[in-house]
Amino acid sequence: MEKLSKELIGASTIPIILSILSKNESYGYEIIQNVKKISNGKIEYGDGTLYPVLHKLEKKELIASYWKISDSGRKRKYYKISDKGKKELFTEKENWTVINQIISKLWKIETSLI
Amino acid sequence: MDSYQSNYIKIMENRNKFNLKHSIDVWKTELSQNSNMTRDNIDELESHLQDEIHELLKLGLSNAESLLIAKNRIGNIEKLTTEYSKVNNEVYFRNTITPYLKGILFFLTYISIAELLPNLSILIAKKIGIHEGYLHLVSIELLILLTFILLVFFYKKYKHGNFNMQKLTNIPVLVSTIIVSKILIYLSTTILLDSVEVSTFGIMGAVLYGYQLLFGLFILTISCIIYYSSRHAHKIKIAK
Repeated sequence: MEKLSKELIGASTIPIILSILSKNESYGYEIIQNVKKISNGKIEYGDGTLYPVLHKLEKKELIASYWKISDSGRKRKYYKISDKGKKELFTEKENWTVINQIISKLWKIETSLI
Repeated sequence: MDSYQSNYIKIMENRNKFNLKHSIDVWKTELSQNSNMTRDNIDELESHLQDEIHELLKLGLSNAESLLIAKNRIGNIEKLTTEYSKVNNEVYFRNTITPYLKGILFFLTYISIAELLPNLSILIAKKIGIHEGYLHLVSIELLILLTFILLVFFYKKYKHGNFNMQKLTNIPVLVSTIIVSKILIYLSTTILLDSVEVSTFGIMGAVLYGYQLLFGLFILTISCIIYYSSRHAHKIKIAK
């Protein structure tokens, strides 16, 4: 299965993480597994690369973190979306919808030409 | 044959006694010493490592194999340092500057103790009753003793291959030693000024100055030797 380009993965990281966290609070390992499953393996974040992104989002106050003991008895750092993060996700959704509409329009024209 | 077999079994048993917790602790220590990650970052990565190991163990891999694969997936220290430097600028700066700071503080501590010795030698000489004319000799002896202790200490560290200087370069200890030495220098000088002639301080100052000059020369020589020997070791001869 071919993976997506680095640039595309990079650009979509923030909306993807915020979308996942808007549904449920989660921790790094679970986020990586979730993204892998949803994208059918097309997006696979590196184990060590996701955490700096999460910390950057936390610094921007889009998400908040806290330590919690999970059901398995192990300590895990959970992340949840903040109000500011929800607003950011809304803007991201609008932007991606616009891009999606532009590309759909362009490709529809192309196919009709052929 | 029996002894050979039992030896073989013992070796295999030892191999299986792989201590996972200890190996994870070693990995965490390496990360904390060599990367720009905070304790919180490392704890978080450890929890990730545990999840990864847990999944690999379920696949039937051994503890050692699971740890190896999980560590590889997370990435090596250099890669993690580069990734985390995007968010941990302050930690990166702090970690880089700390060894230099410790070196400077260690040097300052040594110099402060050396500065205290002339006054100490005057006090000792007065207690024992040595003539003021021989004071500089007592001072020189004390300075030689201090240097000797330091050299023996470093030689022992070098011989045992133990270069862990954490206790010796503990910043609060160094700073408090400098402050205490400076206070003692000030107090002892004010006390001694009443009973000792000013010219004596001049002689002692000259001895100390000479010592500092020699010490500086010693450090310069050591630096040159280390610089050229490390350059020599890193040189790769290109084949014609």
